[in-house]
Amino acid sequence: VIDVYAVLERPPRRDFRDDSVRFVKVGALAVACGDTERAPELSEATLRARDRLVRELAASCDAILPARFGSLVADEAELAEKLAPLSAELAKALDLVRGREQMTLRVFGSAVVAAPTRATTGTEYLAERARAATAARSVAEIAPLRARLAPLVFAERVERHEGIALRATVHHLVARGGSAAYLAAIPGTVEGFTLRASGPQPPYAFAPGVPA
Amino acid sequence: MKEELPDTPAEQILETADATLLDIVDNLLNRGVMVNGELVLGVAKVDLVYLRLSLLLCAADRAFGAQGRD
Repeated sequence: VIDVYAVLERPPRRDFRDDSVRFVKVGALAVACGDTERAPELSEATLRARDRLVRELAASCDAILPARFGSLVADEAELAEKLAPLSAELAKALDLVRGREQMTLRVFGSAVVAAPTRATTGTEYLAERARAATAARSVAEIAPLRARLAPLVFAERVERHEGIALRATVHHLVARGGSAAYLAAIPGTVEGFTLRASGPQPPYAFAPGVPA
Repeated sequence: MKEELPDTPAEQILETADATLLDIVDNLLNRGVMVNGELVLGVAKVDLVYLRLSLLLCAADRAFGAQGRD
């Protein structure tokens, strides 16, 4: 069984040395993976070890897309079969993350519950659905920071949360080495919302298939 | 000079080194290239990790409050 670790443009530079990792060529891609007999155990230790491995890979190449933990395939033929339909998307995503890394910004604060609107026509209903969809992709809470972040951020992925104090998780793609400037641009609070920034991390949130 | 330490478990996890644990769980289990449609992991164990993450975030809610702590 093959445990897939990450998708790369090409095998990493010589400074990466881990004999447990091999690189399988799939089309124009190099897939970092390891051989195993069973699914990896899910524990803090194994998650930290995998994160460490992906960081080492990331440090040895310009573009990397980490795989989700527990991505197993039977053999190289299945790996090629699974990745073939994604090849164009993967190439585009590798272009996006080349020379960049991920920062994560969490926005905490009490939710303001909007009064429910009752659509009386189909048009109103669709307009309300469109507004809700737009709101789900945006983070109005950090609007005051946009001008400050604009020169640092190349792409953004937003995940909104409901029902708990964490209102949104925002992943930003910044230039490698740009994390200090990013962290310096994030205040502890903005308009009553508490902000927590972390990173840099490999660009997990910018893989194809992860909700934007 | 004595370094000021975070007060609560939630603050400890959201601050400094343990912020990485939250990111690791979120990134590795929730993001990344999905080679397979479904992951081959024990469901109960995945649920356990997410339960811990949920508890952590609820604890952050109580720790920070609506107006933040700054």
